[in-house]
Amino acid sequence: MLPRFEYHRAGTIEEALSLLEENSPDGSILAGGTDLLVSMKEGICAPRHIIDIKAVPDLRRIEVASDGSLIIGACATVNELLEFKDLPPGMTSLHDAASVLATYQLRNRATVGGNIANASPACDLGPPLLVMGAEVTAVSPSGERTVAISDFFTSVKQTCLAQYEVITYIRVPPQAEAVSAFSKRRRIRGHDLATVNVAAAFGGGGLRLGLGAVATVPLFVDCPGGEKGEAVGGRRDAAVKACLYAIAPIDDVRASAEYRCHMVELLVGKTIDKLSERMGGAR
Amino acid sequence: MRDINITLNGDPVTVRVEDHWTLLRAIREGMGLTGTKEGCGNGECGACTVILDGRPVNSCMVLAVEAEGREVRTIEGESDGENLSALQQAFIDEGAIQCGFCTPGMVMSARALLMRNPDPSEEEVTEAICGNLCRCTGYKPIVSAILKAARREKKNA
Repeated sequence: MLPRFEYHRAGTIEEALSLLEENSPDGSILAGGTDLLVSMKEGICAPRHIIDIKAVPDLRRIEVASDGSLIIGACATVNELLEFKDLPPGMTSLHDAASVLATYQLRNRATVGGNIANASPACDLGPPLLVMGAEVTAVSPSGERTVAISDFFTSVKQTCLAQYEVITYIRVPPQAEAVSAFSKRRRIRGHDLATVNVAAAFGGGGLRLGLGAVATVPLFVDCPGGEKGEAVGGRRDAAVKACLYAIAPIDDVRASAEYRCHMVELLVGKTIDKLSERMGGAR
Repeated sequence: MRDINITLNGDPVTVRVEDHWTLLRAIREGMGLTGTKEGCGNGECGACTVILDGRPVNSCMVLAVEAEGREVRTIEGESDGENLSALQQAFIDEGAIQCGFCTPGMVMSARALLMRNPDPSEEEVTEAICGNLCRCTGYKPIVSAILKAARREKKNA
């Protein structure tokens, strides 16, 4: 059962920010609700004022900008992202991650902004956004700012967002010739957080990896350099080593730290193999 | 309390709800429609699945007030009076119902699938019910039922 609260529907982002400030510290933003309502039911938080931002115009848009970047409104649902037909080249890892996030029903409510704002170390959209160098734009009463996704996650379920800051959109820059892929290890097919998840992108000067559920935040592992024209498969061992060095997994209800280390080794290899396949095996 | 206006199984209705009610509670207690079940209350089991503006959702994860002005389809809307839908009949024919608790949610997920994809593959059916847990059947008869219903509905279309 949810604790009692007052529901407000914001018509503009300014209204949402006002409501947040007026009702501080008892106000929470509601997007998809798939994390907030669970937390409230579990007694983790009990905001007395819920501010629904889904009616704010522009927060649900998904569009390709004139420079080829993908703009995803904070309140675009995960299924809306999956159904978006004009995904620019090189962004497949984002689509792949979205397709295994939670369940179909939850993907009709869960939002892209919410997945990163909730900042679970295992969040599925974190690793692909990391390897693609995404940026997060947020507004607060003091104005608008944009942060690199690599600066966004600060700890378990914590982000760099300030008290009255609300994400408005995420921008994925053009990926020019890059190829990307994603793998998620779960205990079951269906609704499960990742035991380990991996995103990989190759192109524009190197191999980039994103790892989830193996540290307090989704990790970015950069493997630049390498010979020009070198097949990505040849980078496999170095990449696995770099990842194993970077991670700090824990034992939890889903897996032991040891299992996670083993899975990182396997999954990074497997994801790099997917990259090879996507490049036709030739490069 | 406040009134919300929704279209429920095709008919306009007004329901009195509290801000903190889920859509699930509004359906069961506000509207007396107990076909939709509460399994986990956390968006994990799918027993509470309803179709909101054409999309299947866990009604335990939607606030009642968020349904204002929207279309809600519940299991009660699946049959036409006493006449079971092809989907419901197929569930019976294939032995896809044992205790029956997951069934309304399963049928709603299946109905939503057939609305967006009238000719699904077995893989697509399995994917569509990934959010609906069943402790009894092992899922196989449920998948068979949905495929059978798809064939029947296609034939009758």
